Amino acid sequence: MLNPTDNAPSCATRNSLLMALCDHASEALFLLDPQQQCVFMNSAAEKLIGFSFDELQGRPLRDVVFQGVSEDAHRTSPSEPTERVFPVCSGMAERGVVLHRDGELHRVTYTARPVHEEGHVVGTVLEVRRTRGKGQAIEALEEETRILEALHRTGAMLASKLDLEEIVQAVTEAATTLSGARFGAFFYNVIRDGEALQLYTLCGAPREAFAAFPQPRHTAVFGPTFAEGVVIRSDNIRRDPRYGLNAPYRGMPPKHLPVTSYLSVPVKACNGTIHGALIFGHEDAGVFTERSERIVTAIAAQASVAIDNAALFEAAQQEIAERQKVEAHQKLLIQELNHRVKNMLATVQSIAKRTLRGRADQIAMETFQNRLLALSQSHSLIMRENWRPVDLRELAHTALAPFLDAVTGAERVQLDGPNIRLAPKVALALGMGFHELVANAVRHGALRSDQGQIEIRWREMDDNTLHLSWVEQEGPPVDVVQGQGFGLQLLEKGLAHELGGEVRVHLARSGMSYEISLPDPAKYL
Amino acid sequence: MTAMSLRGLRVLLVEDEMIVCMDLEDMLRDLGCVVVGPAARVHQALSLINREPIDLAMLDINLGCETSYPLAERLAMLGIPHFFSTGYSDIEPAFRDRPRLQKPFSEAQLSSLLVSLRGAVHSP
Repeated sequence: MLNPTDNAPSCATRNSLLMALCDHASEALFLLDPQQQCVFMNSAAEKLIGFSFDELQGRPLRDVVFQGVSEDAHRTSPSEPTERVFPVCSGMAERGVVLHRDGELHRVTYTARPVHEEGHVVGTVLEVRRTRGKGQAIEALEEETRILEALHRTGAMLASKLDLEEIVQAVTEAATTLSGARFGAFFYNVIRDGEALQLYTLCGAPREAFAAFPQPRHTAVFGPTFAEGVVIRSDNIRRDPRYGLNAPYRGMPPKHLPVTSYLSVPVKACNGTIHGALIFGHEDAGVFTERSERIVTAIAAQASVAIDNAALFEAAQQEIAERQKVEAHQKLLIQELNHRVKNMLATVQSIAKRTLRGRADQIAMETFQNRLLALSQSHSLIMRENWRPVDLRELAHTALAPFLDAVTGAERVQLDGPNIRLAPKVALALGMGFHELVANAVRHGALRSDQGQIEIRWREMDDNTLHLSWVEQEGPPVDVVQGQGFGLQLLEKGLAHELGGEVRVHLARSGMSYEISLPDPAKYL
Repeated sequence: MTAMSLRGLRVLLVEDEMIVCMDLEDMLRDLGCVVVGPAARVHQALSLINREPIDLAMLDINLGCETSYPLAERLAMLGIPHFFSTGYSDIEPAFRDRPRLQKPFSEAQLSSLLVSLRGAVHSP
């Protein structure tokens, strides 16, 4: 490793210098061979364990230095493989326990580093430091910080999830790790397709380990947690008076995972219902401390919020899907309605034509047909708006268009007013009214001459009343009789009587004019 | 003017509503057309298409338990002009390019559509 030079100390001198260096180090140093046998230890190391190097010969080091934070770890895991006891590649500081020759246990932290030679691991340097009294408070604080951070991470992770299965799996894993359990399970209640089910997730044990067993029942052990929401923590559940009371197994079923230490914590919703329970086990006694209980209770609270959120999210999704289904169905019904209205009008038209064929004059037949087509056009507008209110300007335009195309230019009719919506019933009545008025204007009124004009203006009053005026100007002289036709009757009966409006007719030399007022025309839905 | 240009035009009529169908037959004959059919079902119309010379076809879309879209496809394949006469319904996207008459309609509307399609009819 060191390249000797002319002024470097000799090999022997160097060895004794290195020995002196090691012996003066305040930390305990052990050098292990690949079989984890101790091949060197310094004075601090001898002092730490109370054995000299010679006394330790032939004994595996793990007899005196143990992995794990628990003071009785050496009693519970005597058969840990040595490579796991001192991981050759780990440079991390680990917590452990040292058994002193006088029988006392000391908490330590240790670092194990591999020694490489030509690419092979030829040994491990183990550096061990006692954790003294003052360190315990710091260590406890560090431990709490570590737990708080883990809880925080769990909370943040849970807050980002909306899928129930992901949540329960994450909760089970986090709680099992932080509680120090060998394995953990989360039994939770769900309602799928109206059926109440209890599902579970596992951590630390394969699913097969549980698959053969029936669901946990409300026994004296499970009941308090599942039904009453009580935490149960036992150092040895097999000695608990509540254990083994139920047939057929009087305890755990055969091949059940070995459970001695037991901890179960309910997961309660904010409204008090119990979502389920987190259950943890360890084959050793006395594993779960009050702190494990506090940690798991905190995780259970976070889990409960996450599960509530997931349930709300699922309910919202279901509601959306349900609403979409209803809307699709409604659309289908409206389409069917539209189809039937149109077909019915077509049938009525055909019946009338066949009935009147050869019996009525051509004008009567055409008048009837135009009225029917006007009604159909108004319906088309309403259908396009899915039976919601339609635009007044569009309705007027639809009614007037056939006449303007055939008889005269559009510039002779002016439409002027704000956007106003009309309920279907109002639109049908007003649409027919427009049709009659414009047909009348073509036959007798303003559109009969070349100069005649029609001004249609409307406005909405503060009380939502619609005021509409139809003024014909510069047409041929007005004939008094013309104002008594079907159109006016329709306006008076339809708008005035049925819809509570008012229609006033003015006969002037220059032309007919109509004043229509209608309360809240969008209201009749 | 239009009736003259439509004289002798062989129009396949597909319509399942009896009364409407009788009226349409009258309308077509009044315009000088020769009515092929009428057919109320797709299979009847298909066999007419196979047997009879047809210049133009007028198709009601909704034939009760079936639609006339297969007929529109067949007619397009044969290069025969056709249009839909329909109540209010959503037309399948693939057939929205076809001319359409919304029921109820007047003789004038029918005749002007027939005249415009007449131009597409190949002279025999």
